[in-house]
Amino acid sequence: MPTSRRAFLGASAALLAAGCSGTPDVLGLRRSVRVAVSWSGQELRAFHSVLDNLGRLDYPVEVVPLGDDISTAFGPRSARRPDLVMLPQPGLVAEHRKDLASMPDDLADRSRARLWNELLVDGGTTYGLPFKTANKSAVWYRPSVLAKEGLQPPTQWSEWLAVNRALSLSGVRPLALAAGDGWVLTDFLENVLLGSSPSSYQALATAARPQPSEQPAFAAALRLLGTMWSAPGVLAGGVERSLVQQFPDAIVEVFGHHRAAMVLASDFAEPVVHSFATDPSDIGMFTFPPMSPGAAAPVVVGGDVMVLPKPTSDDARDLVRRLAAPAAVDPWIAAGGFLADGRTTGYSPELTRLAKQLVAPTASLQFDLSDRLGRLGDINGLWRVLTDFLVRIGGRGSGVVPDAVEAALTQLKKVES
Amino acid sequence: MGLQSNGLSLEIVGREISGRPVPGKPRRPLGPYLLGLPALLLSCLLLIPIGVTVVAAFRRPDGSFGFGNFAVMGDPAALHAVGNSLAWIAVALALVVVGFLLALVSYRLPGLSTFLQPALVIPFAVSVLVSGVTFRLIFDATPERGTVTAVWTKLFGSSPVWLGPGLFWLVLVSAFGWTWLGYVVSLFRAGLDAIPDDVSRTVAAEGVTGWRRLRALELPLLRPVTGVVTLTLVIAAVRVFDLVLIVVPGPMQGDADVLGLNWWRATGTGEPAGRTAALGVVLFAIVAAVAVIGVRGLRRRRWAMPVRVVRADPSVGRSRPPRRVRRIGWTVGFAVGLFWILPAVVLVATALHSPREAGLGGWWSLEGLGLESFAAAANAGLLRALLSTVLISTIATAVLLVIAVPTAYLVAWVGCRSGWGAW
Repeated sequence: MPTSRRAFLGASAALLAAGCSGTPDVLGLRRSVRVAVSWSGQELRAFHSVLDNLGRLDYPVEVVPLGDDISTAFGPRSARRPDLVMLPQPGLVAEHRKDLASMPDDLADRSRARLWNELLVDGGTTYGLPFKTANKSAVWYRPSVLAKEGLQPPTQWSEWLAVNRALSLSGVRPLALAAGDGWVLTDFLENVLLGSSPSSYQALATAARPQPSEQPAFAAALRLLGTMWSAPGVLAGGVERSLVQQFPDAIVEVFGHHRAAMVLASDFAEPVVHSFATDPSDIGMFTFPPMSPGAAAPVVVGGDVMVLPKPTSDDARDLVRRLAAPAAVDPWIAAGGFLADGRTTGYSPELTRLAKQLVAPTASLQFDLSDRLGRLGDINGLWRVLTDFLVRIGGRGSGVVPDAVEAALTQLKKVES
Repeated sequence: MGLQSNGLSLEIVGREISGRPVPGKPRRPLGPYLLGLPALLLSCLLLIPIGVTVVAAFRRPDGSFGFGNFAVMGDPAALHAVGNSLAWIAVALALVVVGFLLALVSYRLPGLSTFLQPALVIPFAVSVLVSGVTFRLIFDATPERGTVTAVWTKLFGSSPVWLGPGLFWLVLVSAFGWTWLGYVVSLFRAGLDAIPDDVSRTVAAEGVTGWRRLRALELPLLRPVTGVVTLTLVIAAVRVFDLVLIVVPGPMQGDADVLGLNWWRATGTGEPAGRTAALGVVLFAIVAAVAVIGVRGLRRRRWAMPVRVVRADPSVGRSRPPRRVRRIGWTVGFAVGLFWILPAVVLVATALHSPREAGLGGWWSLEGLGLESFAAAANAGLLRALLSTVLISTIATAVLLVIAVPTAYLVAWVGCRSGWGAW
């Protein structure tokens, strides 16, 4: 059948031509700017809308979603190496500094603001630029559940424990915990530690060789956390279900399937909460309560910073400049779940509260600790330790907590050495 | 085909010899050796990275050479990964056995394969990664979304957490088996179908049945097919990587670690290059050992495949089982086939729900049907990814045709001439 074969060859040639014009960089014919991100799903779509909003660029941009494995972006050098990394752990900038090019000078001021300068500036040179800020001290809940039991959102840690007890007594599971994502567990602990002992937190975050297992405040924070997690009936679905639950799953448990009342989730949970809530009017948010009367409420800050792996190109620098423009992130702010550094307007009421907390002069503000502990904070360190801790105590009553804390400290000590 | 009878060794000649024998010299054409050029290119492409990795594996951080990097194999995590990789090889071998038995059953029971055969092949069209996503959906822990959890909860009141510690192996193996079983059965079935009817009739007339028949007829005849299938599956099992990454929830990733993943993680966490190279060499050694065994199996071909000269007489073909048996086979095949395509149905049905409904309910839900999920995927760079895939696969196919086909010709040609094929 000569005609059909010719038709097939013609079609494949056309397809090849189309492919070539669309993705020249696959062949290495023309270098596009590769942007490695850790986002997926809705956040990835929002980032694409930000890119689309930048206007005409002289170079193609390729987004490489690397998920939790974003640190592989700094792996062995190759032609497919990203030119711009949206690093979700600002604390890792220092560790990768020798692989990074400095930021354009005209933008460097943004990195010298409060908190950021500790992580992004080294010896007067700026290696990273904040793109997205996260307030990791938010708890999203369904107000109708609390109202039904005559309860108020807690303003103290002890009140929170009491609310949990009251809810479990009336047959409602208080907490959905996304233990499938290790950072959810570390965020929980960091809030407790920052709330109970800001000085120890600061000491651990800035130590050259941090040894959390030697810090009494760290053990105390584990015990406090253990009190909440070990309460019988506190976790929706029990420990096993929590372990397979990722952060959107936990939100669906609360707002979609109504099997839990509250979930600790950052500001960026907002669009997920809204898209899965069966009753859009039944959405509430409170900030992580202070650990004791008179203490400041903890505010754990996260964010994604733009860094340029060496060697960098003019195209990559141009993209950074465009993404750093304040109006560039407007589409993402409109979609929800985005806090821009230093900005307090234009958000939903919940996010406005979180944004104001980030600029409040009295807040006890600190960056995510797990990023700043180096290998101690990663998947084989604190993540694993807290997962095992949860497995040992989850729903088993406060009697098992002291032993579990000891076991966690021993485990941590092994990673430290 | 040779046969022995009454102390005489007889050889049947395929055609008459006509004309007188003419003395001559063997021709020595140059052409086939030119095929060696692409072969050389292919070898270089394959061997240079291997060589670089091997050198890196033996180079110590101080620049000297030695086995120091292989101390990484004493690391409990690496040992655990090696153990898991070996377990995966066992899974692959088990799958070959199951696939062979299924092929045998469908060969003896003809009606069975009418529906089952196409159903078994469908999963082979999707990658292991997609298969993993599908099985994660099916085994989801919430009764609203997970098919198995929903059915189990209906039947027994509550359901185990299928993706939880220990049980995730079930999900992993199901996803792997779902993707590969069709391939195994199809190849074995094709091999069985290629057994000449007169051979199987002769064996039957000799009264050889059951296990003895299997050993005398099917197993030796299927040796080349078995070689190909085992080789493909074992290599797929050793290289299993994306499946573990996509199926196993974060806290259990350590338990499910395999060599490939361990090596990949080590490259990202800034471990010395020599140690990761050592891991890579161990991974390569396992695959190579299996490949050598498989290739030996490939070459032990005892029987030539028949060339039909005369049109087969349907009346003397394989005996057909009675109508009732065929009907049973058809029904069973239909039912199993339906069950087998269920994951594909789950995948397509889930994709046809809006992201919100897919998150809240199961694939069977009638709410939120539409193409919204496709639109969402398109907004996250789907189109570009598809174009890249088309381009890469086109280039890969072209390269394969340009390099591998001449190489295969060369190997076959040299093999014929020098009798390589004999060992």
